[in-house]
Amino acid sequence: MLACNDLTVEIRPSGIRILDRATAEFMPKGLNAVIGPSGCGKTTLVKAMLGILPCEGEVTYAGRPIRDSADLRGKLSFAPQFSIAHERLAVGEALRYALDLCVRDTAVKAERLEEILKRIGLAEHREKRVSDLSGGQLRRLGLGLELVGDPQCMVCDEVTSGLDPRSEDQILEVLQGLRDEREKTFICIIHNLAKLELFDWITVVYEGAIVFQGDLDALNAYFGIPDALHLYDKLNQQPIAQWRERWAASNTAEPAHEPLPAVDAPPPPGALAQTCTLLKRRALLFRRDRGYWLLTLGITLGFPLLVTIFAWDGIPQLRGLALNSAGGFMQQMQDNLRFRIDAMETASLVTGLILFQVILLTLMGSNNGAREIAGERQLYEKERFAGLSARAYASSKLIFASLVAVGQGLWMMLFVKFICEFPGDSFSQAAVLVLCCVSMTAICLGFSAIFNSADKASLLSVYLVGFQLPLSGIVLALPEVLVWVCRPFINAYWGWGGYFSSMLDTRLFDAYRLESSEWIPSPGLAVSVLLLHFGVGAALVFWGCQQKRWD
Amino acid sequence: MFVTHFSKRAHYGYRAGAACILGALLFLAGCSGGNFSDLETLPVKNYVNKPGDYLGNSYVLRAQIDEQIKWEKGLGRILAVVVEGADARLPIFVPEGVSDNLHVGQRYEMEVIIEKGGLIYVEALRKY
Repeated sequence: MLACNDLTVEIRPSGIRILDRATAEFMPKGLNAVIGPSGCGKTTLVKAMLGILPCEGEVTYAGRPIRDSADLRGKLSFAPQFSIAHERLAVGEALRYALDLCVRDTAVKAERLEEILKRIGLAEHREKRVSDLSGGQLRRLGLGLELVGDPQCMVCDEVTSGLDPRSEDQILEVLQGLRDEREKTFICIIHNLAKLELFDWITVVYEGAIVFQGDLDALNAYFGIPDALHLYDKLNQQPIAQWRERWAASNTAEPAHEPLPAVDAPPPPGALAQTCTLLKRRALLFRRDRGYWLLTLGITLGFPLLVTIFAWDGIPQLRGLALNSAGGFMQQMQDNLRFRIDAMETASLVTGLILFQVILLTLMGSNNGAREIAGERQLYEKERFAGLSARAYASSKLIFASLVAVGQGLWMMLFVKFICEFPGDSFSQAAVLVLCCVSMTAICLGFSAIFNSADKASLLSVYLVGFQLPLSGIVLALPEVLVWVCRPFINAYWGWGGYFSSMLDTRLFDAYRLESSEWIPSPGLAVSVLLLHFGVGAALVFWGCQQKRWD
Repeated sequence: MFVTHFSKRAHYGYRAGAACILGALLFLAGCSGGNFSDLETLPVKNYVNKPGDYLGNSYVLRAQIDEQIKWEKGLGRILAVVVEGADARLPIFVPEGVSDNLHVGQRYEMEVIIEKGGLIYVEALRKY
């Protein structure tokens, strides 16, 4: 079963060891308890063995060396204390989507769903939302989600912590049932020492070291205590070095249990199937999150309205200046002056309206992407451990957020063009505005994949949007030296330039050109730069999703 | 030794990102279109002093339309343009059919040839 040898975890860069040369093995087909005072390294030990934390030392499963979490896929599952399932899903839906992500065979999925619901005692609550479950029901659902891949071994982080005695007993009954009827192995981090009699094998962790392994009777005898409730007082009586030495002297090198052959689970569904499942689930969650879709709908409809307020009656037609210099000198001067004033006002209005559209689209992009991954990172890590492909997850997020952005970009273009009567090629304008929103969405999604905290990703995205206006150099002229340092990275500039140059053959463009000879990118060039931004964002998303970011 | 490493699957993501970036770069190269012309820029100052010296030469000229001096239907028009980057106002001849939508204030990049008498004859133009 799962074992480790000389496992050490250090906090970087300080080098403080939070787990020091831990050597342990766990009982197959049994209930294993990992106990110790708070902060002693129980969760660190478990996470290091599962490859969740970087560490030094050896970990084996059924005698085979484990180099990465992926080596445990299908054999072992992990239920963290929190982040069990999406709150807006019903119990049955949460289990069904988890099965769709882990199991290929349709018949097996249907059968297993019913079996799990019955086993965890939530069959009658299958329609109940996860958010409405009690603490005990939630932990049982956590166990059920671990069971979807039918693993040999399950690791539970504080599965009974904070529960009332009845809920705790219910959970332990489920574990015992699975051990006795399905020969499952459990490794549970627990706090309630009074329940140790229900466990077959106990591992005591103290100040980052393993100081005992054995059954309850052996534990009481080893520490010379009448019952396990006196354990922590006893541990405090001697320094860790003495406990470590004593355990090293009494622990034989022989394995305590017969090795159990590993059962390789069937491979999970392919990345494409997982992407489809994730997209279906995301669409359902989007529908259920009323606040979020109302906000998205509100900004999608409201922002274009905001733009049109400034040109509700359309853009004023520009009266041209005759090419021929007819009339007297004073008349010419007057005409010229009138034309220049009109042209400046019109150019200012048009460029302002285009920039306003673009900035609002970048803001929508930030709203689409910033919280999408970081907000559910722990759930993703748990599902990845169970077999979800990082590629499928990243693709599903990119597809979903980009689809929302495409809708927003198209609506902005159509609504503003119709109300304000913007001239120019609709296809180019749609392409530029859609890509402006999609590329910003991808970049912010990249931030969301890189950062653990949704707040950090959101804040950085808001800063990025905030800098679009000043650094675009459209409203305020940038110093010459900074122009081409900033421009390549400023989404709003390319959005504005691409849209504006789609009106090259119109008098509005001429009005701007009267006073400015500044280079403006063509729609094609703007589209390609925005595609480049999207590519960078997508690469960040894929890279960020490959990283392990457990709490 | 327990070594944390990326799975091979990670590389698919990088390949996808790299493919996206490469595609955009190729598209960028295609869309940028390069220069309107590889011709030399008209040396405005020297031309103004001795227009006859440049007879038969072809140049590129970037300028803003300032005024129409003369128009003859079926033949073309003579425009006064202000050259970009030079404080010079030059007359140019735009034959009929080269462009029919010329207005004061527009800026153009033009391929020109210096004809007899130093006349700047526009062969092609592109608005910018």
